[in-house]
Amino acid sequence: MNNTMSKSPVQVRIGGEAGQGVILAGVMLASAAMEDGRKVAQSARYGAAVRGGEATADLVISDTPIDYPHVEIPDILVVFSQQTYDRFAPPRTEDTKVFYDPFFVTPSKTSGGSLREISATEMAIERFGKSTSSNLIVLGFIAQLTGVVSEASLNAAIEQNLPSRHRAVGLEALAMGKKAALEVGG
Amino acid sequence: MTGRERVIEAPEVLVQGNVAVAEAAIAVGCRFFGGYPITPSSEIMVRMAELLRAGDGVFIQMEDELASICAVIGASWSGAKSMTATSGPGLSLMQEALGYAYFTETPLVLVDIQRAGPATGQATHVGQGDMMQFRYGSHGDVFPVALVPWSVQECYDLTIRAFNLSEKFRIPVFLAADEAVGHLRENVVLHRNFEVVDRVKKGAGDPFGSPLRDGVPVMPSFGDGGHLMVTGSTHDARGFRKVDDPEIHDALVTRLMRKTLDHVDEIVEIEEHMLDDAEVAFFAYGVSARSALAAVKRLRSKGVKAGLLRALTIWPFPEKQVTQLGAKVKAIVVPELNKGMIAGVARGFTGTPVHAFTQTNGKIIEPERLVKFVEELP
Amino acid sequence: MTRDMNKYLREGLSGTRFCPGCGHGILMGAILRAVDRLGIAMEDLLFVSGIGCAAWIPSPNIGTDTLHTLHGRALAFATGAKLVNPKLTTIVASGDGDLTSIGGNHLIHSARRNLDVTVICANNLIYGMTGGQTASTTPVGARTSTDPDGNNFRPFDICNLVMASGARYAARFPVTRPNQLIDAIEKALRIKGFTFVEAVSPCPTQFGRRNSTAEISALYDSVDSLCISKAEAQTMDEDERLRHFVVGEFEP
Ligand SMILES: Cc1ncc(C[n+]2csc(CCOP(=O)(O)OP(=O)(O)O)c2C)c(N)n1
Ligand code: SF4
Ligand SMILES: [Mg+2]
Repeated sequence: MNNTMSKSPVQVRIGGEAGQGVILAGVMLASAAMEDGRKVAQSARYGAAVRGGEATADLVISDTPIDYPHVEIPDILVVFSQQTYDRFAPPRTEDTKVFYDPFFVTPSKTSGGSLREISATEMAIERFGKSTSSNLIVLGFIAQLTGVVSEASLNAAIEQNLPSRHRAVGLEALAMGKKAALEVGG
Repeated sequence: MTGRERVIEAPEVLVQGNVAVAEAAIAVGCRFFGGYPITPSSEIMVRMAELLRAGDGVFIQMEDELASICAVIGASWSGAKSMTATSGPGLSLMQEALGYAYFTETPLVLVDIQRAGPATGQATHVGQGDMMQFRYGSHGDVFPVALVPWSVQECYDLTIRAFNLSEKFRIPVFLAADEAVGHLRENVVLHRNFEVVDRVKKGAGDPFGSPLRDGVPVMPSFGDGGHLMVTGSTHDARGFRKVDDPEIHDALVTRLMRKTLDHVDEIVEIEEHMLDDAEVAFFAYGVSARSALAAVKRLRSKGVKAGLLRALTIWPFPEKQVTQLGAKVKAIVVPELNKGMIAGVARGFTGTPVHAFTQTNGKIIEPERLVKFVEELP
Repeated sequence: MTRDMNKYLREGLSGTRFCPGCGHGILMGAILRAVDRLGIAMEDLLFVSGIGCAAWIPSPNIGTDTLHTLHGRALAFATGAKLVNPKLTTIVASGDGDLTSIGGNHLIHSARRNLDVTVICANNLIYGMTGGQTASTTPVGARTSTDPDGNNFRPFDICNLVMASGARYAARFPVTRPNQLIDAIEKALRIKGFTFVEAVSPCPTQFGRRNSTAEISALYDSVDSLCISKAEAQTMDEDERLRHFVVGEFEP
């Protein structure tokens, strides 16, 4: 499964509810991809309200300049809400790798593409007492399984995008995601 | 630093288009920002607040957009390069003062991050519906300059160009951006590799007149001892109100027009993509030009000879280039996030069929839709 | 003008454009005398005005930097000009309609921010320039071109309004009492921060004609006789007070 990085462009979509860290996850992934020396186009769609409502982060990663900057067909789809799962999966192509958090999403059996669950919310609550770093656990997980960004760059993205008081937790969350990925294997 | 071959003087960074606008403004010497919050432009004002307060500039959040643009004009006359940023509803409120800035030859930059209108519309979703407001929003004859970025890098580069043009020609300049570009994060180089143009503050001649038909007068600042008379009423070269003199009014309106129109070759920037042997061409601007470029490549791979003419300057309109394009291709497609505003303008400059591809759903245009549209052209 | 105020007038000027007997001309003299007393250098003075007869007091008449702006927006323009060049003694001189109706929001916000400007409001109780329409300062019962049977709405007490919004100083005097008016302008200019002087400035052409009299001296007498002190005001009920001009200084 560790072949995504060589593909260009790679299209990643992360969906969930506003307030779940969906957009931050998109920015971190973009930051890591840039650190890997690639071109990125990262965007977000959300409603007018600051909290609640659907939020989607799109990321295109490429070795050449990116024309269309939004995601057309995701290669990687991460969903933190049933609503975004229902909307974006089953994907239009069998090649899409879908990652979901079972705390929020019950996948239908007819989904195309490969389907992977990652209990990030549960893991975050268990380890940190709250769900806020679940987005980073997922990033550690998908980076390990897909190679979409390198581990070093993802760690660097934590340094660049999180205030210093959150960095230790951030790095640990990434590591938890990676470990979970190694356990399920790719 | 793995995988980077390009030698660049400044590192690539990941920033949002709106933030790139603010960084560019500071880099080119903007020292005043007055604004009022509005989605999807607010990141510009927040970043300007940080940057101006950290340096020697002035940031002020005004009580509304009427006040914002007026404060910007006042600041410009006190000698500071000045800017505001807004979105459609705010742009509507600013129109009277924009006409004032044009008529008093006040340099300033107005950044509009277009959202889906009319009215409050969809505040967080993209549109390109202000294209005519840039051109015709003010009452009376105005000949504005509007630049359209299609990327975060161009948010940076065209903001710099907007300031330079505005200082050179003493004219308000629009950065006609949109939500998709304003909120996009991309690799960008916040370089210092550019020329900075400053208004001419001292020199021969009066501050509101020129012997040349397209002349740009000197612009002293308040406090320089020039006893300036700035007025939005018709005025003579010194600034005296001349509200009944037909010749003076006509001469002023005409000179201001020529400042823009006699310099179209300098002001208008376009970019050509795969037009050499093209039989069908997109004429596009802003984020929609990215959809068009993606479509061109797909059409080419299917054997369709497609190309793209991209406008980086939309006002003054690239008339000559559209006429030349029409002479070369069999059909022109104008994709835009409004009901065909620029397509309608383009039709005036070519006899070749101009097809409007319009989309007003708050999303950018998927390239596949353009591919299909071209394939189905008559 | 006995002292030489001509030095403050703009070179190349050919007379002012006010109607005979317009209070705005007297107010202009009062402003210049206050400036003269303070000895402010011409290069350091900026006058900003909106649109209206009153907005023509500084522009083009006064030979300093003048910024003649849009209707209602003088204070917004002044904000940018002053913040960029704090050295400029900035005087906003404009009409009651300009400053309190179309520009009312800028007035209260400039006071709230304590913008360091002095605002001189030429209050002629009406829209002079556009033909005598009702203003937000027109007294109840006064006749205007849009309320020929008398205005029904209560006028702003502008000094109160700006003081409530945070002004450091406000004063109201009629142009019939020029010495008090000059003193007030001088004091306002001395105080740092947002200061405000309301000059009751009769408009014979549009207000006088429709109300008391178009005869200039009679109009001036009637305006002056309506001026009362704060102490006198306290003896009146609200309706009666609203028909008068409470003159004096208002300090926080
Ligand atoms: C946006 C706008 N609306 C209306 C006008 C028309 N107008 C010009 S002056 C004026 C009233 C001025 O009244 P005031 O400020 O009291 O000054 P005065 O003439 O009474 O001294 C109006 C309504 C304008 N110039 N601009
Ligand atoms: S109309 Fe009234 S305010 Fe205007 S100049 Fe004449 S008298 Fe003065
Ligand atoms: Mg008036």
